[in-house]
Amino acid sequence: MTGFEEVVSQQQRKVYSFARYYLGSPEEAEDVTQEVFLKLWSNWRKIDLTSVRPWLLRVTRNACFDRLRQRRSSSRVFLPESDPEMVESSPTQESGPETLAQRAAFRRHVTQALEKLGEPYRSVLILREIQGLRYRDISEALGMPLNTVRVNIHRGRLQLREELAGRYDSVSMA
Amino acid sequence: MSRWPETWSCEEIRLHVEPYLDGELPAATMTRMRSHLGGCPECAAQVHLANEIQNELHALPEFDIPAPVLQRILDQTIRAKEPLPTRVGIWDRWPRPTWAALAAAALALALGLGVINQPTPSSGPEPPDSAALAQATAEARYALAKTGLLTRKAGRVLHDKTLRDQIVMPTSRGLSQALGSTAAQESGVSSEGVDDV
Repeated sequence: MTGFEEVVSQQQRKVYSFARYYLGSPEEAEDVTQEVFLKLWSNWRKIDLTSVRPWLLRVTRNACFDRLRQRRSSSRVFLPESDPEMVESSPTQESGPETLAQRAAFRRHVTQALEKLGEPYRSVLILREIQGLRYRDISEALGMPLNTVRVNIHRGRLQLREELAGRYDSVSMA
Repeated sequence: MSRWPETWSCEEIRLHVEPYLDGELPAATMTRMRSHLGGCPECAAQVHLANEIQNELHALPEFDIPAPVLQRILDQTIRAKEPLPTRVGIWDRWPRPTWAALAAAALALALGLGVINQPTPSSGPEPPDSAALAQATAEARYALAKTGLLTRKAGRVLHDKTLRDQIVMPTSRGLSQALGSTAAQESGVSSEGVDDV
């Protein structure tokens, strides 16, 4: 396996998952991921491989942001649909169809609320809360001071909560 | 003066739920919030909702790229026999033939000279014989010489001093010696063919 293939193998999950949650569309996420790794290939000689992941995530975020702008400027109406894999993939421990249905609905509403967030909240929440990156890595990937990362994560979660509060005034997930 | 008030309204409490959940408030403030939440069901519900949202985000999975997409990426990059396609995207700032030819030529030369170690699978094709290796080397050298021509025609300069001084120029001189001055003229590679910055 060449160095390039190794980087692709190691980083494709982070790149593709970020794009998928950002855009809410597996197909568009595939296009973005391909675009990002082609860009990596064309810049291969210039890239500092010790910080290839921040570079890839920054390029991915920018590519996703461009896609969203194209969506908004086009006359097509894009309705993000629930991604069945996202809703069904994580098993729950509780039994009973009512609880499973409630959890599936909650997950769907959380991911839809995430797709409504603006920048930088959408990026920081995906990187931190879904992908588990450290504050320092997010700071490097997005070119954002550490404390700003922390503040933006809190504000992003606050916006999610405000978006969902009307639907979930009292939460019963037990 | 402390920025954390002794008493907060419910509205202020709800604005600080996230840092509270993360334990990032001063200790005294955390204590006061806990005390408030113990007696305010509405604020407690907000904390519960925030906690559930965070749990749900943490439980969301990551995905591997579908295999066909991965194959397309590799086919267009490391496995490509041709230079990159002419229209790839917004990062295409240089005349495509120049940089694509450089990349293809450098890779071909490195392969021909055995610089890049080929993987040695447990079972696979035999290593090339000396005739095939010589042909690949000649083809790579010709590609590099052609690169000089494309560079000059495109009006670009080779900014990479290493590539220019250690690969392209020695290769062009070698080609002219091996093939004669006519071929070197045709390839357009000379000391003037790759301009200094």
